Amino acid sequence: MAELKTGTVISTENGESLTIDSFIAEGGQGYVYKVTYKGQPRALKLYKPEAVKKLDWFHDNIREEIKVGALSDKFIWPEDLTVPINNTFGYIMPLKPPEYVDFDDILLAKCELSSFYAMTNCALNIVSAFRLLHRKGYAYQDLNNGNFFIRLRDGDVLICDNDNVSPEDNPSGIAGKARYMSPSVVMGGRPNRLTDRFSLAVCLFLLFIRCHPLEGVKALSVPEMNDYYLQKHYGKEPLFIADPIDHSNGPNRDIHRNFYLRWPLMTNTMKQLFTRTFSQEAMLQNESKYPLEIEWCRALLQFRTYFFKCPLCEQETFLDSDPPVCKCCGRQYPVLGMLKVNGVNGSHGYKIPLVKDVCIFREHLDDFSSTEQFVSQPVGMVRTKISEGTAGLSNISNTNWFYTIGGATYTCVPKQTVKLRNGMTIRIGNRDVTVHM
Amino acid sequence: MPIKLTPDKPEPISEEQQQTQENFSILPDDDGEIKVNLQKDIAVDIIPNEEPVPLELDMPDSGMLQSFRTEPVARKITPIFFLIDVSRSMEGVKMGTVNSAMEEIMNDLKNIENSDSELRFAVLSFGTGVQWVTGENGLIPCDGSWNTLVADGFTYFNSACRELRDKLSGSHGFFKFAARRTITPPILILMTDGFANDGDRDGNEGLAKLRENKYFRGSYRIAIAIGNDANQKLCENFTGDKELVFTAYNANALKVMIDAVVKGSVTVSSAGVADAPNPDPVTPDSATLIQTVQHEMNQLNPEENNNEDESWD
Ligand SMILES: Nc1ncnc2c1ncn2[C@@H]1O[C@H](COP(=O)(O)OP(=O)(O)O)[C@@H](O)[C@H]1O
Repeated sequence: MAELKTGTVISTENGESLTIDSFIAEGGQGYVYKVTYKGQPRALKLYKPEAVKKLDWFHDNIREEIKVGALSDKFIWPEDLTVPINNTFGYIMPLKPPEYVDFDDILLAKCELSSFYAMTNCALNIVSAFRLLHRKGYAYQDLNNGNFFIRLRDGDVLICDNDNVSPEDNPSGIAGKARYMSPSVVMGGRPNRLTDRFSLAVCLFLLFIRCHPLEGVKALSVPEMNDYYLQKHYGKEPLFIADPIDHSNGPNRDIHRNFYLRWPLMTNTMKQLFTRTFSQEAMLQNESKYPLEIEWCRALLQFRTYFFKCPLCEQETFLDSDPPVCKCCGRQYPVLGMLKVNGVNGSHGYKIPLVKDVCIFREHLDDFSSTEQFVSQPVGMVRTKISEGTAGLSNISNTNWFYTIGGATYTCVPKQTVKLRNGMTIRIGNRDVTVHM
Repeated sequence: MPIKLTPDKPEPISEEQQQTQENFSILPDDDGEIKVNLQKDIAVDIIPNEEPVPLELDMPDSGMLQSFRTEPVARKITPIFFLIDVSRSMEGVKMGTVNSAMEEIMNDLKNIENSDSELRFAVLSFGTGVQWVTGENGLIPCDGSWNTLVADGFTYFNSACRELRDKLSGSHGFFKFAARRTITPPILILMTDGFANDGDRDGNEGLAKLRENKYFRGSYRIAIAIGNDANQKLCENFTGDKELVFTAYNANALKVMIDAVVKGSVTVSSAGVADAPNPDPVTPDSATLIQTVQHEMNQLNPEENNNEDESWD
């Protein structure tokens, strides 16, 4: 099983060497070891030659990936290749830090993210990483639950198993798990950027709703999920559990309790994006209807902004009612108003509720245009004085803001707080933020 | 406050709001004369932030999410059946081999957890009689424990086949679950040394019955022929393929083979080669299974591999 013994020394293509420290895990395609490489702890994945049909393809692909370098720090990217060993080879990559867990542990309810805010942040990290990957002309091809490591505290994400990542016209031949594959791929088509988007949406649905989007009562009622039914329910006749027209694969109160709890929490935009992904049209006729990563980014950032600490009980709550009622303490809490960042380029803009400690992030302002990888950098933070019904916005960026009152323009320098009043506009960077109170 | 706070819809500013605005605004907004001093007049709470505030912030560790009582995702079940020969000829080392292997298998199955499917198993022993060692109620989760089986009696293989056929059923057998759940194709593992003592000695009679069953026909099967004198023919009849009949060299080999079967079946095999004209990516292909199992076996028995290349001066 574990084929390499502790202490084994292996040379690499870059002329370095590594030492096997311990066996970590066995996957479908290989064994993963903890190793020491250039004096640093690293991970080694050693392929099972019998389980990977195109071993040479992987070797060439990884060599290319190493040349290009990691797309961002969210990718656990190959760093070096071993020389051939026992009819196979391996590649070296960063080691997963211990505070990151397998996505599967979350799906099995063994652990949970610290908050919905962290969960949404996790989704943002995943989506923006895949946006970057696609922008660079790559496709992931075999995206599934095994590809993410997640930090529960804040939803930070590391994407592993990047050996499949390749230019779109160069498929690895790995088909992956049917449950995560776009119907066209289940039916034998090639994976590409568009089919990645389907797989991505399945992962997001699982993350938020904790059930599979195509596994409603119809799919769960088959006698056996064999080839025939796999092709039927994931390929030929896929049907969304929340399909607005055809309810025959809908949820069941006993089996899909997670669905009943969580789907209602989704905002309309989130629901629409899921519904569009899993619509008959997108799944069966036109895969270009799958939402783009940028659409997910926008929806998720807005969604995340509506999770904050209740000003009364300090527990996480979600703003979905007017007047707002805390999901934890059940009390009505004050929201003093709203900041609005006007949209451009097809974005609807963003709304930021005037609740203590809620932040405006760089991405609210630049609409994901200036950053390659989502960084979640706050630039402004809401302050409140509930007793007086007043709110302020602290400049926690390092640039000056400008705002106009009665025709005169004033400056708010970093670390200052500007008092907000209805109708006022604050110029932050090159965007106008208007105040509605 | 009449402002509509929910996302996605732009809000009109109502009259009441404007009212609020007047009450709220201490300084006349339209008076251009007044230079607002941030430090004194306008700042609500002048809170100098010495550090930029990181927002992974202090989201509380409890809150609405903790009240959600999230359940594991709904999973399919992967049924694993062990058919274990406990006839008298198994007494001694053979039975010991089976028991210690099963201990390790159970321990391993306990640790194989994934969100694609949930492993559950049942053990049917056949000796003098045919008995569901894991109970008549169906498949049970793998908690890692194993109760030693003791050899006695004849080999009622054909009866075991009939019993298995009855339970490979969703309407009255072991695939009937309280809540609606489907299964992956079952995994069937036969461990025997012997010959059927009830009817056809190669098990053809019982197997003919089993083959009427759809679940059986769609199952992954391997057989482990225990001991050198084992009836390979019966095993081959069971698996339908000579290559899926193995000899139990040792407990580890057995474990390795079952490991391979379990892993081959839990996830859909990646047999699809995208440049084939019409690949069938969801076919769990027994060729890969055979290859994998053989590879594992070769790892354990390297001397078998080397025969061809040996050169002598
Ligand atoms: N860089 C890494 N650091 C630590 N553990 C890892 C790393 N990469 C993979 N693993 C572990 O190894 C297991 C199997 O690896 P994986 O790449 O998923 O295999 P496969 O793709 O062959 O199924 C994973 O579940 C994970 O826990």
